[in-house]
Amino acid sequence: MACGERVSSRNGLFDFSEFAVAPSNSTERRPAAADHKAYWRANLRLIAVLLAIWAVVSFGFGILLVERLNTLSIGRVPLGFWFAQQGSIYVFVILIFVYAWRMDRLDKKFKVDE
Amino acid sequence: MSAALLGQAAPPASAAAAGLDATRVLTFVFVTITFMAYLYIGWRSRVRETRGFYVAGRGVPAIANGAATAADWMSAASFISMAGLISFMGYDGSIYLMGWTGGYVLLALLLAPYLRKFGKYTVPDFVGERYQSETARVVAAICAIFVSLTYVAGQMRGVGIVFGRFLEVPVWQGVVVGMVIVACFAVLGGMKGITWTQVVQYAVLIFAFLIPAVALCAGVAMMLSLPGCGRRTDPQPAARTFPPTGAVKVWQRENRILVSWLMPASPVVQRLGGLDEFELRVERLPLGLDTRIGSGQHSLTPAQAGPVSSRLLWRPVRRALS
Repeated sequence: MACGERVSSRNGLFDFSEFAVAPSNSTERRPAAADHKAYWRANLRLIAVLLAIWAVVSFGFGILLVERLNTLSIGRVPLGFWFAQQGSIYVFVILIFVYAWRMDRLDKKFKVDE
Repeated sequence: MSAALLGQAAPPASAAAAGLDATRVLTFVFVTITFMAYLYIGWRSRVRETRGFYVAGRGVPAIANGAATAADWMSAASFISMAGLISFMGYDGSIYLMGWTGGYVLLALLLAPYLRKFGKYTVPDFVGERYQSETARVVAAICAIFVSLTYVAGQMRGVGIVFGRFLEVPVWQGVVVGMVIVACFAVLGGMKGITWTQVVQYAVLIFAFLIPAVALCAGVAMMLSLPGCGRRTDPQPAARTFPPTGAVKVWQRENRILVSWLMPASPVVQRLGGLDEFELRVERLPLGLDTRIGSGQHSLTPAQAGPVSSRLLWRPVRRALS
């Protein structure tokens, strides 16, 4: 397995070059250095926000604050328990969709979309 | 991935063990049909080049890829052991739910996009290239092998149990049978075959989850209409009452593991869970392990009560902050 993949990736079976770094001859697709920085900063900001939510709903609501949240309830389900069993998972799925959507927009804005 | 095909085999297999001949024949027919489907897919999507083997030639639609990923999630562990685990461990079992679902978020945000953009097939390749270090690559490879082996060991055990019960052979023979079948379509079809197989498994698994869920809900509804299952009168002590505690008791009393998992916090379980004075007293005890030991009906040694991670990491944190 290991040998196969090694060889093939070296053989250039992939055409990733067009969106990893633009080919050196086509200057219009290569983002300027400043652009690149802005793109990366926006990228990091997005990840930081999403991961903060990720941590809060699972570790925060599901573990740390569970006792306190359990005094509230959704229907007849204690809220903290609900977050641990279902709520955090719903949020995880939403986070992935939001990430994909925002990154697509970001890629388009900086013209690095596929 | 492999063990996701356990899905459709598990419930009928246990039914067959009960000695129902018609069920056994039906089980055999259905399992054979689904395996034929998997093998056919593997054959149809057989590949001849590396690119096709590892990334399915990039020809898999996003929806299909998502379905395959979901089938990954619903593996042997979720299907066979998760319900029992959560029922048994009570609240602490949520660590598995949050842990391995949360892992998908990390994967999607931190690893997958870069792996894709980098044009590498595997994580070790990516790590090696990204950090320009063969050492890093070797470390990543060792980690990957370790993770895979740990995972596969559990999955294969699940395969062995299901095939063992299904074919009425010892577990190790079940493992061999399962391994041969999985290897057939995996080696034939590579990533493409596996992906399409998993798309089918996705549908099969969701049906397999829904059937017992619907049946149990119907069953519980009937049970509740029997005399003697009255509503509890004492208002429950809100802060200290956890549905899983009730769920564990349901399991003890009714031996219906799935009830607690499917509807852990539903009125049904709360009604079942709070039936008598003794149990109300138990509910006021401290949470977690102590509750179950305190109930005396089903004593657990700490070693049985959950994995070390839970005991060492989860409870102390929760206690310290409560």
